[in-house]
Amino acid sequence: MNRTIVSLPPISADLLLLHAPAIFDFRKRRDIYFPFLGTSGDVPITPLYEYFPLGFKTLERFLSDRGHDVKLINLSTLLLRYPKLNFDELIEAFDTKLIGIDLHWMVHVQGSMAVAERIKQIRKEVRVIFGGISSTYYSNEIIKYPYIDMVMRGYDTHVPMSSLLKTIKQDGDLKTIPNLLWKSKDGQIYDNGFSYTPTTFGLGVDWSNQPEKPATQTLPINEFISFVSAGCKNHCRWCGGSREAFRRIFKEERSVINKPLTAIDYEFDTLKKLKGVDRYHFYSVGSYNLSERSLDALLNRIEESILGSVSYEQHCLTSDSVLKRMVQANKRTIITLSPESHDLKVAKLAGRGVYTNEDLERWIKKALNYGIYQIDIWYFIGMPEQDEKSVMETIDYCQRLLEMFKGSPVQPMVCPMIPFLDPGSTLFEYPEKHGYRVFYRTAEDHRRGMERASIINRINYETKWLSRSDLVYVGFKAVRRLMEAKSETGYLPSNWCKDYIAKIDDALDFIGVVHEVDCLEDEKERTQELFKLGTEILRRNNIILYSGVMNQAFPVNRQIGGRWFDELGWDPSVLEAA
Amino acid sequence: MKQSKIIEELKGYISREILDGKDIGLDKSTPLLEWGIINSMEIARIVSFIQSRFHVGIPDDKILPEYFMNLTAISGLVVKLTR
Repeated sequence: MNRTIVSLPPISADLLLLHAPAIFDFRKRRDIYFPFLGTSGDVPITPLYEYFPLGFKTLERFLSDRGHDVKLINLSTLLLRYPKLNFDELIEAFDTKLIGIDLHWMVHVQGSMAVAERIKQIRKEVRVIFGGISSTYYSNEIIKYPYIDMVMRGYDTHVPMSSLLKTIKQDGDLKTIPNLLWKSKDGQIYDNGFSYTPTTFGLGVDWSNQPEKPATQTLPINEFISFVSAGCKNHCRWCGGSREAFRRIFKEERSVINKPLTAIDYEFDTLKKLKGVDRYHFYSVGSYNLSERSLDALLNRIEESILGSVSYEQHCLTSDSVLKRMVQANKRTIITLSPESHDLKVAKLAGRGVYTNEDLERWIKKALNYGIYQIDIWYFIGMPEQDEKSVMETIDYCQRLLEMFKGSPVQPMVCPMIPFLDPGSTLFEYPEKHGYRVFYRTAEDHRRGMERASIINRINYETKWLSRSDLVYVGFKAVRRLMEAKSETGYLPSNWCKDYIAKIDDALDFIGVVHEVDCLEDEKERTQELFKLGTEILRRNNIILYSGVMNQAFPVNRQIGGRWFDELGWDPSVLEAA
Repeated sequence: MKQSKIIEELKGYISREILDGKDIGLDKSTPLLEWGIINSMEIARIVSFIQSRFHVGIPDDKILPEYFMNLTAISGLVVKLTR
C-alpha cells in the first residue's frame, strides 16, 4: 500500500532550542567512521552524543514562566529515530525568529555549526544564537562564523536570555543584554560585556513530564540527572568543568556556584507527579560539591521520594555517617568513584589520588556492609605519566577488585579520554608543562578535526606516554581485558562479554583500515581511497547508530527514545507520517 | 529441569540478593519490572546467576521486557533455551 507523505506541520516558538548530533549529517557521511566504543563512559548514548545540556530544560522552564514560548528539539535523537526525515523540510517547519544551539561539549562542534549553517542557508531571516561552556570559551572566535548571529556567555544565562527574548519581541536594542556577543545586520560585532554572574546557579528542572517512550520491545532507559552546582571545588587537570577551568572560562573568583535549595525542592516536588517514578534512576552529578547542610537537604528529599535508585558521584571516600544516611534515604544507593588510576602517582597528577587502593578496599567492604547497593569505580586513560604498562596494571587491579568482591555489585570500569581533552582544562591550557601535546587549539581546528575519517585523527591531544593511536588501541584493549575479567569472574554473563569483545575486535580491525587511508598525505588520493571505503563505513556506522545504545555497565542494546533528553518536537504520529 | 524448580531458585535468588531478604510476597506472577523490583542492573545479575546455576546463556537479543516481566516469564525463557 502506498503511504501518503505529508510535510511536517510548523512548530512555532519564540525560541527553538536545538541540540545537534556530533556530526551532521551523519546519515550521509561515508567518510567518517564511528567505531563501537567510540563513546566512552556508561551514559546510554550513541557516538552522536544525543545528551543535551540540562540548561535546555531550565531555560525552557524559566522562559516559559515569563511568557515566552520555548520548545526543545533534539535533532540527534530525531534523525536517529526518523532517518528519512528531510532536514531542509524540517527547517522550513520552524516558525520562529530565534534558534538556540548548544555548543557545550566540544564534541558537538561540527554538528552544531553544520546545522547552523544549513539553517542560515535556508532561513536567512532566523537568528541563530550559540550557548554553553565551549561557546563561552570560544565566543570571540565563533561569533565570526557567518551563520552565528549571537553567542550568550555564562554558566547561568536564564535572566539574559529572558531579556533577549523580550528585546527581540519589542524590536529593542540588543546592546542592553548582558553577556551577549552579537552581530548587527551589517556584520559588525558588538560585545556587551560579561556582567551577569549570579551567586546561585540555575533553577530546578520540571521532571514531571518525560519524552514519550517508543513502542519499544527493549528495556526502557529510565534515568535522569541533577546538577547541584556549576563549577567544582576540585581541580582535575583534564576536566573543563574543574575549579581552575571554571575560573578561567568564566573569569570568576569563585569556583563553585551552588544551586539554591529551593531549586532542589522544586525538582523533587515535580518528581511526585512523574508516573512510575519508582522505576527511575536518579543520578546526582557532582554531589561532592554539596555543603553538609545541602547534602542533608538533598538526602531528606530523596528519602521522601520513592525513586527506584540513586547514584552519587563522590570525590573522596564517603564517610560512615553519610553512607548510612544515603542507605536510609534509598535502599538502592549507588556510589560512583573515579580514582582514574590504581597508581596513586598518576591519580594525583590527574587531580584525584585522595585515597590508596588499600583505603578503597577497606571502604568498599564497609560500604557494602552498610547496605550500599552498588559501587561503580571508574578508571581513565590519557592521564599524566600513564603509559601502556600503567593502564594494563590498572586492569590487573580491576581484576583484583572483581575477584575480591566476587558476587557483590562492585563494578570497575575504564575508558579512554577520547576524542577531546576539554578546552579550558589545565592540561589543555598548559600542555607542555604536563607532558601533553594539543593538536587542535581553535574551534575551527576542532571542527575540522571532527571531520577526520579516523577516530585516531579526531583526538585533539596526545601525551608523552600515550600517542593518539595508543589512546585508541590501548584504550580499547583495556576495555577488552576488563570485559574478559568480568566474564571470568561471573560479574557479567559470559555470552554478553563475548559479543562485546567481538565488537571491539571488529572495530579495532576496521579502525586500522580507515586510519591508514585517513593518513594518506595526498589529499586527492586520500579522498579517492576513502570513497572506496565509503560503503563499508556507512554500513558499519548504520549498525552502531541504529541498533540502539549499550554501554560497559549494561552491554545490551536498548532502543533510543524516551530518555529525558529525547525531545522530538513533534508528536511521534506526525513524524511517522512525514 | 522443571519450570517450577527454576521459579523456586530464581525466587530465592531475588529474595536474597535483590530484596535483601525482605518478604514482599514475591510469587511467580509478581510484576518484577512494573513494580521496579528489577531493572537493567538486576537483569545483568539475574542472567549471570542463570548462567552459573543452570548453565544457560541468555543472548542479548532476548533481554526484553516480555521475558523478564515475572518469574514465570524468566523461567519460561530458561526452559526454552535449554531445549
